[in-house]
Amino acid sequence: MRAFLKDNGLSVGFGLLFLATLVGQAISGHGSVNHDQLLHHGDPISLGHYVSSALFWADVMENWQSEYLQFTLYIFATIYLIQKGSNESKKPGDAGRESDEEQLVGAHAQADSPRWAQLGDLRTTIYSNSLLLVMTSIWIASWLAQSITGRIAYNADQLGHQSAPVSWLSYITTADFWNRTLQNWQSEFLAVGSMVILSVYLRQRGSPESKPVGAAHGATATEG
Amino acid sequence: MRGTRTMFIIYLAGIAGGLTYAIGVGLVGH
Repeated sequence: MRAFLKDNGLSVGFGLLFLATLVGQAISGHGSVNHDQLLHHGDPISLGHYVSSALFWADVMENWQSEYLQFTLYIFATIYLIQKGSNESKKPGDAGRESDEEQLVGAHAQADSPRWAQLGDLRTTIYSNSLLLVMTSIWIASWLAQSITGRIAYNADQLGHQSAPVSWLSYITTADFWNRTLQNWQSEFLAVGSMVILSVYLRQRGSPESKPVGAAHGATATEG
Repeated sequence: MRGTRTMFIIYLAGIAGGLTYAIGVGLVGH
């Protein structure tokens, strides 16, 4: 168990943080919804009802999709774009998909390379893009889930105010859908841009997200 | 690498489960 935690501290730690904050979101979201119910002279709903409602899941999904979009775009953009001096970037001149030799695929694979990296056929092409493929799929699926659950929550509000419910196609053109979407995207893009440019001049000793403290500001992609 | 593959599978399964449940909730119209 100790060896397991030592080897997997990051994934275990963030997994537990995720679960704890999801529970926190459920409890506070439930309180917020019932406060609103009281204001509108409605009946309070149970916590169980709330966590299985579109209201809760629309909030969860709108945050998921923006996070996965952030990482998806970052993985893609860093193939081709460079930020001189940033640890988050490849070195100037390394932009692009790089050679098979550099990427250790096909004939250049090593004995311990993953099997699909060694094959040199379509499977190698798929495996070469598997991280971006999976992250993109999760982004699309969570954005779709946001739109489907967001529509139900939106329609509940519409009905509560004697207005007509909308179809899914109508919902994805509403200000509600785009407000939920863009308010999350803007913060993600700012955070990524900040991380890229702040890491040129600022340091965190011991973190692989930072250059070594004594590395020159102009040094790009130096492992911490 | 002890347990690392297990963590990989737990994450993927958890994400897939969450997405499926959310889409289900939206489709059922709860």
